Amino acid sequence: MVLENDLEKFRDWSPIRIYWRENRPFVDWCWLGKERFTDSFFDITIQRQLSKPFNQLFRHQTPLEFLGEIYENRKGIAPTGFIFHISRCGSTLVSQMLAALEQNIVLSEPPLIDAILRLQIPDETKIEWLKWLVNTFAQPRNEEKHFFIKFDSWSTLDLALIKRAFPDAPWIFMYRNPVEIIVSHKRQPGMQMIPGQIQQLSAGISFEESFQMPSEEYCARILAKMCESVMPFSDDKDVKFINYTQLPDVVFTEILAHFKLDFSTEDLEKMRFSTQFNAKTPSLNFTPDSESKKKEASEIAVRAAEKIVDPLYEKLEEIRKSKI
Amino acid sequence: MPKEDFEQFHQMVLQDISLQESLRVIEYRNDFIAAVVEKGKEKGFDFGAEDVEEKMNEYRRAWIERWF
Repeated sequence: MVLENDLEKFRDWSPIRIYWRENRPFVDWCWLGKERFTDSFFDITIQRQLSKPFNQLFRHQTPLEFLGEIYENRKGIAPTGFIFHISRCGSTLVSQMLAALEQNIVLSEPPLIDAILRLQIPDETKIEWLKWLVNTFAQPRNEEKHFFIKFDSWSTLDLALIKRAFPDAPWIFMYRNPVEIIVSHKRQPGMQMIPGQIQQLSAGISFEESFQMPSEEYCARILAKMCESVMPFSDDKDVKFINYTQLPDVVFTEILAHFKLDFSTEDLEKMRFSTQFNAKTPSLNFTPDSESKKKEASEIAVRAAEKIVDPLYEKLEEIRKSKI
Repeated sequence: MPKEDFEQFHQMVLQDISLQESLRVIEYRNDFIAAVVEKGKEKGFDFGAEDVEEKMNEYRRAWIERWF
């Protein structure tokens, strides 16, 4: 049993890393104070905090079980909404729009969740640890009321397990015309598109094979795997499919209602204001790039998309439209 | 023993919110390290800047290597 005094010492701290010491999982903590997660990715906020000398020297190190003690003694905000996606499809824009409001805690691809999902441990343990970790992240430091997580794109493959851990959380699944995503990864490959980096994505494709095929085809296969993994959940009562083409208006017309949110006019204006900027590089203005990406697509990219992912994309569209 | 003294002081700071607050406000690394050594002395511990830097480097390395 942890004393209230012990919990109080962690009030303005956040887990930033899970690591193993003597076959035991530990958590590395960083003091955040009132700093909110407003950057496009979790690690960017943490990296900025770690530039402060204090945070370079003083970091709590606790056994992971301590998060279980917090779970038992101090419940955080129940998840308001989860964002799943197949990468490069506007999910960061949605998370940034939500992060524009001070009443929201928005975690964008926190690596600690992925660290737990990738462990070779029984599912029951993973579920328990995920609940503990998410509850710790969901502790308000600024009187926030809502809590969101944007998962890594490859976490879509773990949907069944995540749903078991958080059966009541509404979620959205975001996707985009596959050839536009392939072009985006061709310009700047995401980690998930580098063969061998995310092992569960590479399943069924040998390492040699993945390097022999064009990168566009590998990308198409990975996108197909993500799309396939969501299909069994298409009838889930808590899911809403979102196409990139619906952004940003769909946030106001459908996503907020799906997450059971009713924001003030002023808050909606703040969210609308945030859409002016490039979600991943806020110093730049947002410019629609679907047409330029389509024009830039090589013949290999077009063929890979048509052959491997387009049928799934069409299916997703069919499901989405059937629910309007 | 400076190393043991430093570890004890390190733990003391993690348990003492007012001590943390006094060190958090220092923005520059060298000033911060000097202040940690000074605060340690005030509390009766004997360690040097090199002990502080060693711990900072250890954490920095752990963060950089978190993917491996």
